[in-house]
Amino acid sequence: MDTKIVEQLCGKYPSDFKKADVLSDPNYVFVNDPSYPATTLLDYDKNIVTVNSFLECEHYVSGGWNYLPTISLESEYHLILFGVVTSLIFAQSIYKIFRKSKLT
Amino acid sequence: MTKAKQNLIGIVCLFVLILIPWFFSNYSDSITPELVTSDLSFYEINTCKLSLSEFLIKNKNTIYQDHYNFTLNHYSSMSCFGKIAGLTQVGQEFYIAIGTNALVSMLIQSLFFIICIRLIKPSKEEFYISNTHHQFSLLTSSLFFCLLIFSEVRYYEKNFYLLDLSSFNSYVLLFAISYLINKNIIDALNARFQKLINYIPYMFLIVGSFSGLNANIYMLIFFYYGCYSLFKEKINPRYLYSASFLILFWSINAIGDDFGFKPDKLRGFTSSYFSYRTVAVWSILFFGVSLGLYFIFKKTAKHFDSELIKKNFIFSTILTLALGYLGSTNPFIKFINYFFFGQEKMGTTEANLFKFDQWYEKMAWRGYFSSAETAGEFYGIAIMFLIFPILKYKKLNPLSLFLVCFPLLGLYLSNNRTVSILLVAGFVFYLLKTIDINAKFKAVFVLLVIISTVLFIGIDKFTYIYSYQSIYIQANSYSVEYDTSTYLNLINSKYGIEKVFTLLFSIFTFLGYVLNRSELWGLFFARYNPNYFEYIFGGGPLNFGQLYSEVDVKETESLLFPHSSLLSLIVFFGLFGVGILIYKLTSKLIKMRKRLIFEHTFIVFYIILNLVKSDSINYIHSFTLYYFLLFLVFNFNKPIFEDYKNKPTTQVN
Repeated sequence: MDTKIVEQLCGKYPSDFKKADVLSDPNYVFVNDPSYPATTLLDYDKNIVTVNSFLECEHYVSGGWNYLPTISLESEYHLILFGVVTSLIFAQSIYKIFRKSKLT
Repeated sequence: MTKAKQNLIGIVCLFVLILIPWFFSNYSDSITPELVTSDLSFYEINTCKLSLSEFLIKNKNTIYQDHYNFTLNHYSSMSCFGKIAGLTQVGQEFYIAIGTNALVSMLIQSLFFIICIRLIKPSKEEFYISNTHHQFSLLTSSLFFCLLIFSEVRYYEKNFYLLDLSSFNSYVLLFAISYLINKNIIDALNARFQKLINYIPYMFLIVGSFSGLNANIYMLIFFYYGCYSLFKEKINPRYLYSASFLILFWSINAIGDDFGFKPDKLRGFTSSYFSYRTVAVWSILFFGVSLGLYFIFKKTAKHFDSELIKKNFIFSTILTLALGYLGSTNPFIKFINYFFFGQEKMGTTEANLFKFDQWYEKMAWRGYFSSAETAGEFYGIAIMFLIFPILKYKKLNPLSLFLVCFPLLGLYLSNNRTVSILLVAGFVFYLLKTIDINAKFKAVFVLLVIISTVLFIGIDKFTYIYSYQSIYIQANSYSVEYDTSTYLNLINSKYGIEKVFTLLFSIFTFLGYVLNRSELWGLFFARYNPNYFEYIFGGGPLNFGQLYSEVDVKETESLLFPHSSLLSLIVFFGLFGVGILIYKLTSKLIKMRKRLIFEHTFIVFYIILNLVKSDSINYIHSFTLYYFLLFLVFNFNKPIFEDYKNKPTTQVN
């Protein structure tokens, strides 16, 4: 998982950070960190989960709860812009060919 | 459709384009703008929800009251374009941030530029363009644009909102945008290709820097023609090899270096970093742009029209003066000027055109321009185009005399005294040369001019020891003990010890002192830190990163440029490069000495002197204008300054 996205959603990595070993311990319970502000995470289907420690947040984000509404929205805008620009290029080229054939 | 009708439609389109982007908003929401007061909580909560037009309708006073400032927020979402992205108060000043997403801005600015080009009537003679070479050049210049962004990622990270510049997809988007822009601009230009050189003065009005980008529209255009010329025309392999080796060596020299530079008023024609990547890219760009310009001039020089260029100089002079003044008094117009005309730096906020300092000395007013000095040089050339024909045909043209008032006003406001003195001297010498008077009288007059120049400089300056030492003193005063530049070390070890070095440096210092450049050139030498390679071959064109970041100097009041294109050239091309340039220019002048008319010699002298004392070469418009004028002088057989209307007609028997 890209640490950039983790930092974007959960904040900076604590200096003494150790990844939660959840896989080897099915009864693992995340301990709340009172100094950590509760953070809401979303998955791609926009389901919501609230996490209460950096460890928990990192675990969820690594597991796919990394949907960023702003980034996704902007990416959609970029995609739309790309579509508009390429369509314009295509339309202009077709028009040019059409006009040339009409002239000849 | 008649040309007048087409122009009218074009102008209406321009106005619509200027207005439309600021109306984007969700008008179905319940958010209505509030009056701007000291309580700005409403605008802090509702960011990117109100369009600029909604805001202005509610707060009309922000358009003209000078304590409001419109700023551009390039790092904003596309959905925030044209909306109020924030409002802050600092002291009595309010700063209204407008969302101007860099990608959308690029498209809007280009559309504005294309409509402006379309106002020019297409050429009768069509310029033949080979389609294959055209397509290759378009692809190359668009790819190069992506490379330019890739080389300056750190600059663009702060300007492209959530565009991941480490992802290939982002470059595909940038390539598509650049291709669309290039294609449309080039199509419009090719239809008017023969006439283009006559419209160079408009480059000072439509400056063309993309909002939020360190790129300029003209850079893309000239680079395209450079590529076209490279693919289509035969180019001397000697030049190609020399350029390739230089680029290679400059890039190798820059490996390991990473110096940042804030482009400020040079935005769009200077690199923002000094690293091997930027050195390579900006060097290729420089050669590409130069080649493109040479190609345009070579192909279109025969279509040079003195009347048309004069008209265009007058229009651009009037428009720059008017927009400069309107911008200085109306914050909204200043914002519009900056955005649509692509200024490198916002126009001045100084509304008092005739301001004097405590010593009753006129203060320079830069108005629309980024630099008052460049403004003065531009107005100086406009004056030449108007006055020389009058002097030549000794026929007073009332319209020309009236129109010359505008560039004269511009020159006075810019307070560029070098240009003023040069013009007066040039016109006087021209009259002396053309009027049939006694040679003795001419000699007396020349002597009088020399004496008055000496008096103007001040006799005491010639005997004042500081005049010959000022740069040496200033360089040492700006230097810090723990970090002195290699060139300052050289000066300190040779000045006053080696006679030849001391003499040459003292002459140079005196020139700097007379031109009021002691501090700036002293500061330059405190910073100039070349190694042997850079000393001889330079660090690569259009790159100030190393000069401004490698060596620490004492704090300066602002980012002070060297104020000398000659010194810029030394940084870029080293002593060898500058030596070659001087040699080429001198040999051309000597070779053509019998064919050169006075006006042409004068314009060469005008350009050289201005390049010694100003940064003009670092602005793409000045670089183009000077290159164009020098090209005409050396390659065009007809006089540049003509007045076909008042030219006496010769009767044919």
